[in-house]
Amino acid sequence: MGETRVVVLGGAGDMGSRVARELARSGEVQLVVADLRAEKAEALAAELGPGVTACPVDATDRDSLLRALRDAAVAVNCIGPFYRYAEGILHAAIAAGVSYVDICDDDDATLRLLALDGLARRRGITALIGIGWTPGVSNLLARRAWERLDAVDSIDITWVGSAADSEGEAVIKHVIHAVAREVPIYRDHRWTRVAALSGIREVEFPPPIGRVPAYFCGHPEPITLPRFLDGVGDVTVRGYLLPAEIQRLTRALIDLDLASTERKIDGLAGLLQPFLPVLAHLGGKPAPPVSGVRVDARGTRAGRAAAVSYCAIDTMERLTGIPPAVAALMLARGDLAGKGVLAPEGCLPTEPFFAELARRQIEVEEVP
Amino acid sequence: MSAADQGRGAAIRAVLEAFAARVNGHRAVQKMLKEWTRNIHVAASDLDVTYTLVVVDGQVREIAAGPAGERHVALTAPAEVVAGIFEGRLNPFHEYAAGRLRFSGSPKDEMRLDAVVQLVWH
Repeated sequence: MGETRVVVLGGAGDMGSRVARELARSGEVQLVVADLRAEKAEALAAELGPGVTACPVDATDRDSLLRALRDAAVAVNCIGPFYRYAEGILHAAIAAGVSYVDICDDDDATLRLLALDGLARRRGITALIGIGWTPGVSNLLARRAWERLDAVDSIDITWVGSAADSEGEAVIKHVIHAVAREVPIYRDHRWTRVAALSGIREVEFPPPIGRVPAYFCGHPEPITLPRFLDGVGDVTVRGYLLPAEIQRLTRALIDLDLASTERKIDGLAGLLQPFLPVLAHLGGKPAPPVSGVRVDARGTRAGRAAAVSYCAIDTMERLTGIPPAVAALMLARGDLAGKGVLAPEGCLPTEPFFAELARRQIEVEEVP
Repeated sequence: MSAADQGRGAAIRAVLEAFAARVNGHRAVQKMLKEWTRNIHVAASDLDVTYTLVVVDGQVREIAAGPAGERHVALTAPAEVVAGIFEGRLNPFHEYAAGRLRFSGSPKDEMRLDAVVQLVWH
């Protein structure tokens, strides 16, 4: 076990526990599982072996966060929904002088985190935001395309999530939040807003996902990619949920004005979470318990129009939990030099990172 | 057990072996089963016969006679329902909802198994 103390905030949760397991497996860090659910955190720490400790933390209490981050070198924030908690947690990490990694997947929260860049730089810390599945793997696939082509004009990202591959309330809150309002895209070198659920496009994924009619949704990639990848003119993110019938349910909830406030979304998530196994069977056929992300980039190479597309399919737990653990290990080792608030495409070495993912059997394939 | 029932029990084993072969060679299914290690007890309630699918990192390594190892997942149903499920003809969730299948295990494991038995044959 190494000397560097890494605290996983929300470490007993669905994604946080995966991050904690990956970090414990590395044997490189002194791991702390921090969670509001103290008993669950203790149980996980005991399971992960000697040297792993637990501590209680309340994401709404700054003093609690500062206590949890004491003597830490890196904090990995897995407490969702990020539109509610991320800003306060990053503030606390900056105040504590602790470098930071998160899996923030909300566009509005991402803007607030980027606004803390100056504070983070002056404090001399690195805050790597949105290094999960999407954002995260998606951003780095976009960067890979940007490095491979001479110029990239447009990047279109599509994610597919499955009711059979989800467990907690936070992911339900995130999804509703992402589709129940106007959301940002980047078009003609400008940020603009579009209605979520619009912009439907048929996107092909390898089996077991197949072809899906994905739609615009609120996600961080249109916010960050234009900031860090020079020359990109268009960035969009579309999403889709399996099974297909969930789209009908989502639209009905929005049309009935049941998703227009945070409080309503909290109530909905509480109602829907126990029904996930039922929702996974809507339409009579079970949804596959995997998630996927596809990145399509168009631009030029050697003076001619060129395009490249990548895809990754795996369980949400692996796709979301493994990348932040890898990033935290890189930070802990001192392999990342940049200071301030950075998106993955702004600070992670693309191919070494994908090599680390491949070692952990996360496969990325180039697709037609 | 009568000879006829022994034959039906052996037929269940053959169904499970065919299912295992398809799971182990199915690329899309293997994506769903990464790191999935479970003992799945499958019981034909009308024959009093149980087999255990020993799954290690997504691969069915063994079909053991009887309930073997720690029970992570258990399915119990009449032999014809067990055969129908593992041959992809019957939907486990529908059989469960209709009261013809008893299931124990986590909801996530149920959803995973459900999707696998449908996908390997279609």
